[in-house]
Amino acid sequence: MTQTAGFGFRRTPLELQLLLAALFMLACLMAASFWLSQRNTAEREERLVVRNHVERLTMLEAYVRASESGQRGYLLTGDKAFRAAYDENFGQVRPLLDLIGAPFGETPEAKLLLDVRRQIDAKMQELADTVRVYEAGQREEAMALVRSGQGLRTMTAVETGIRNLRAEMQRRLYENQRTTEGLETALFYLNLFGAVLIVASASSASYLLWRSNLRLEAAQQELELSNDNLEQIVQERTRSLQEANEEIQRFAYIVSHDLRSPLVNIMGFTTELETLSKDLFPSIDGDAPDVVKPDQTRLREDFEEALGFIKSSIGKMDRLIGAILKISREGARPIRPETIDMDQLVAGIAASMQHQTQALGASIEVGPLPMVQSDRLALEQIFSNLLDNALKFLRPDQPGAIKVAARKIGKRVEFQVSDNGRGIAPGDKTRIFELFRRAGAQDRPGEGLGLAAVLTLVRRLGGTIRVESDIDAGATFYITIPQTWSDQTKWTM
Amino acid sequence: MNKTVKIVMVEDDDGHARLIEKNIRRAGVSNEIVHLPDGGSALNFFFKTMGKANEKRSSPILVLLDLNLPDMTGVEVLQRLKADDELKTAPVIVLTTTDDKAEIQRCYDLGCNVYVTKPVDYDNFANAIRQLGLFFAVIQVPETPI
Repeated sequence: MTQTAGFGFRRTPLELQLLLAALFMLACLMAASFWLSQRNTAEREERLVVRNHVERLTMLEAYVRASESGQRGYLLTGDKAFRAAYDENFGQVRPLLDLIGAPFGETPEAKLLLDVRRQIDAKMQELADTVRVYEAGQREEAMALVRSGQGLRTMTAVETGIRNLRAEMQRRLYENQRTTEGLETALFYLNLFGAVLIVASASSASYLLWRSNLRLEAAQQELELSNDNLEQIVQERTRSLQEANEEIQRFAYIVSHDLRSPLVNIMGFTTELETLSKDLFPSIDGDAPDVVKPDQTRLREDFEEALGFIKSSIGKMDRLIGAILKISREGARPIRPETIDMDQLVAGIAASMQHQTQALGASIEVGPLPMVQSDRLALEQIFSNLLDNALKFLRPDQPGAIKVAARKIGKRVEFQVSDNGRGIAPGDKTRIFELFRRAGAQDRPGEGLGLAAVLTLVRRLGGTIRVESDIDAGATFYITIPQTWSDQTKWTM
Repeated sequence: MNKTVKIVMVEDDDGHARLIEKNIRRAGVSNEIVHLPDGGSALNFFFKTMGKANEKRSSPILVLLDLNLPDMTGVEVLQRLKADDELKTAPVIVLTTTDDKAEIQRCYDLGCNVYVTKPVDYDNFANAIRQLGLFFAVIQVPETPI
């Protein structure tokens, strides 16, 4: 059982590690995916810009051509409408060129754009020059300028420059397209990998869960098994304890009976001897005094003394055997639990001792006591023994104060029977509960049975007893019993 | 009590037997006392000797029974006596050291007539036996047909 638990404890971090690893990888995947999409968007935006520029280049070329045709028409016809067309298209060229100029840094396009700008500047210069010369009235000179072919050259240069720039832009668009495709492929594989990873971690998680479930089930079965085992062990122990207890009681019973039988003989024949002695040693009253010899008187006295000792010893032995019998019977008596008002029970005992209490000038205070479900006879004997003891061993130099109190400890009740009597020496605290043992000055009657009987009874009720005391400091007996007696608590001693 | 009544004493302890006999005699009872030391010989006497010795119907008996016998309990002897059609009318006095209430009840249930506990105190013991003697004097023992 412990092994499985240890196993489980070592397992948990591994599962946690797996979970953390899966989370970390998912986070990486998300970051990469995000980055790739960002890149893709940037590429797409760039492509849009470049496309715009390509369009603008086309328009630019168209404006330059339109300006040229406007200039030619004006020069040939002098018609103001051509001049207006020229002006309008001419005016469009520069702003458009400036628009294209904006987004390029140190790129091949920038150089080509510079070239285009120069060519356009040259072309525009040529157009403006011819128009100015023509309007100054020198028509022939203006026509000569056109015939020189400079216009055609600059126009071709502009076209070439624009073509080159457009080609470069197309190349860039193509590259951009390739990059986007690469990014999209990467994104696809990344997502595929992510899906695989999710499936893998989900299945490994369910596998781990299944495995730990299996282990849990096995552990539970083991626990149930060992629980059953434990119950069996407890039952076996209880049975053997019960048997041992019954054995002891049978033993005590048989011994006390078998000891009593020879005692009847000893007592009987001793008494017979005593009767005989009256014949052997004629009494002084019965015969004339002169007949009685002094020797005979002494012999008779010795004889009677011996008989007296024999008889008093037999009497004591009979009482001891009787005590053993009583205790063994007490142990065998079945417990009959009933609801008992302990206040009433103890107060009743105290009342029965009132005569004795008054004679000693002592008081018995019975504090609030709880109700219990237990054996009335046993409790009566326990408390009357304890109160009797308390009264018996009071100190003569102060008024006796005896107190019975109680408190609940979980399902058990602890009774305290305390007095301010002569107390018990620390070394005697266990001895006083033994059969026939007495402690302190032997100046009070008793056989050493009371506390032994109390101990037996308390144990029968499934309880414990202990004493706290010191010489001349009074004594407090603590009796703890289950508030509700049940068969199970019977063997807890 | 009829002179022909035989007192059968089943008692394993010789000392007890002697003390009982002494006190019975002191009470003025002079009937024949048969002492049997164990359960086996008691049963033997009841079911064999008596059957043979008395062919004609005669010899009523009174039984003094100890419960602590070496070979069987006195209760068993009592049971056998009370199970027998002819012997069950014989008065049985259980005289033993056992003063257990359950045991006393059992003996009365089985048909014992008097239950006396042997006290260790001899005066009480002697007194009890003497009173038994008085009891013997007035008791009517039925003739046991054998």
